[in-house]
Amino acid sequence: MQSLKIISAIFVKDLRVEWRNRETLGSMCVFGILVVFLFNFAFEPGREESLRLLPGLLWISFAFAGVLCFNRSFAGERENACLEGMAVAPVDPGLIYLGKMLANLLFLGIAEGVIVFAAGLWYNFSFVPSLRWFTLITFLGTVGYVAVGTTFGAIAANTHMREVMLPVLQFPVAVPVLIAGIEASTGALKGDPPSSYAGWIKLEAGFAVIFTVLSYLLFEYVLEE
Amino acid sequence: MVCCPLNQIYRRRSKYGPGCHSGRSEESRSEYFSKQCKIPRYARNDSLEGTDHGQRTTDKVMRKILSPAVHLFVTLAWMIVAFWMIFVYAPQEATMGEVQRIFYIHVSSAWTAFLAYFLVFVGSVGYLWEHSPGADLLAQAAGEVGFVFCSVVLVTGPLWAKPVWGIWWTWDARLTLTFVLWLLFVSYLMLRSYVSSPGRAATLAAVVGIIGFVDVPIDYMAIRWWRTQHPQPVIAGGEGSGLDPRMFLTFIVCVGAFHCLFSYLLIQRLRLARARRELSAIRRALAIRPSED
Repeated sequence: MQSLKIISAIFVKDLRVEWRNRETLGSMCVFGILVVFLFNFAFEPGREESLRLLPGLLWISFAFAGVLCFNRSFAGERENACLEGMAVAPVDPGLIYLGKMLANLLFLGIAEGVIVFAAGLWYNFSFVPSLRWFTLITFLGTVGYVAVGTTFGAIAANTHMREVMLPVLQFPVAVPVLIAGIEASTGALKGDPPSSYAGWIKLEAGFAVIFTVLSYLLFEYVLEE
Repeated sequence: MVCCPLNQIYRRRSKYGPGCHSGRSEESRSEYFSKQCKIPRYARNDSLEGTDHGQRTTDKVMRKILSPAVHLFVTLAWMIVAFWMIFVYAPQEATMGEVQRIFYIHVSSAWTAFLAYFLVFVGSVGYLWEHSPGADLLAQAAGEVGFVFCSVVLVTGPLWAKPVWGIWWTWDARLTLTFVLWLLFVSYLMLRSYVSSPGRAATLAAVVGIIGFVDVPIDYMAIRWWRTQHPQPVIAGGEGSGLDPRMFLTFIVCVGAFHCLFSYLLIQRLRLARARRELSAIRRALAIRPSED
């Protein structure tokens, strides 16, 4: 019960900060939409091709939007020595991680909704028939992506090349979740039976569980000064 | 050993007897000194004290056998034998021809690179476990040397692939995995150089080392499902796999030589890092030495 209170305190604090400055979500959505928009010039996809390319395009814009989110998540904490405050707070650092992670998950989830909406509109693609599976795939993939991203965001906040360091750390580690997300989404959007991409969904779930637990355990060391 | 200047500092410190001008007692001064200058354990000269003579002789002999010069000699000799076997002793491969000989170097480097990443993991866990500087040095050294071997894999692979597959690169499972491993090495080393405080760098790098190591098998699974074009394992693979005995012997010697080279580079890198730390401890000690006014 106490732990839930701590997690929700961090979570609500992040939402409140976001509500007051509205920087992270706005920049994530605009950036994600820009990736979808530029992609149109790069490939000029027709109806058939867009179906083939859409999952990859979506996950790449999710990945870039996520990096923005994780960067902002801890960059803000450096001001006024909030990070030090968190480090000395008499609570389990893992709970701080979970609170941060949930906030990032919510932000990235909202941005993904906007990106998917824009992509559906521009490429005349209806996500409705496969919405249930596509949502599950995106959710699980995003949990795994955010799980490592939150930790790396905190690590990158300690470096003096934050903007470069985060993607360099994040993308190699996130390769499995990106592959699984793209493959499973392709299957779901094509309308294949779920059994054909169930393996990928399991991989996403496994990745999410492993890295959430690992980050929960290691976050103590990331925070310590 | 670099310990000698430290001893001199200690001796000099003891010169400030009760008659020094600052008015501080000898004891409080030495306490102040030891508090201000955290000298690494290995830099202190107490490891040899209290050992009997026989032990010391064995130490001397062991140190001679394990001395860098002997290690270097063994490594060089082994590498020369390995290269002789690769180019002269091993028979020519039936379908691929001469270019197959790169396989010995390629696979040996790959094994070494994976071993190095494992050592990064071991060092990282060790450092987080008990904050020992030695474990951090091991992780750092293994990261740097492993990066070199991983690069060798990525260079020799395409050299082999162009004549045999007709292309330099393909996004096959093992190639992709090696590339991901290379990126993990790069990000690990970049992180170390971008954090200004050495203590923070060690802790954060250890976290990244552990996450990266856990990621490698998941990467492997994901990429393997995704696609596979790389030749199947020829050693202990399925039916129809296997090597000519002479090829096998060459391969074993080559793997041994690369691991010997790896251990030599690793130990040299560790010695360098250790010397650097000792030097900075001495510098700190000298900088805070109370002035003789």
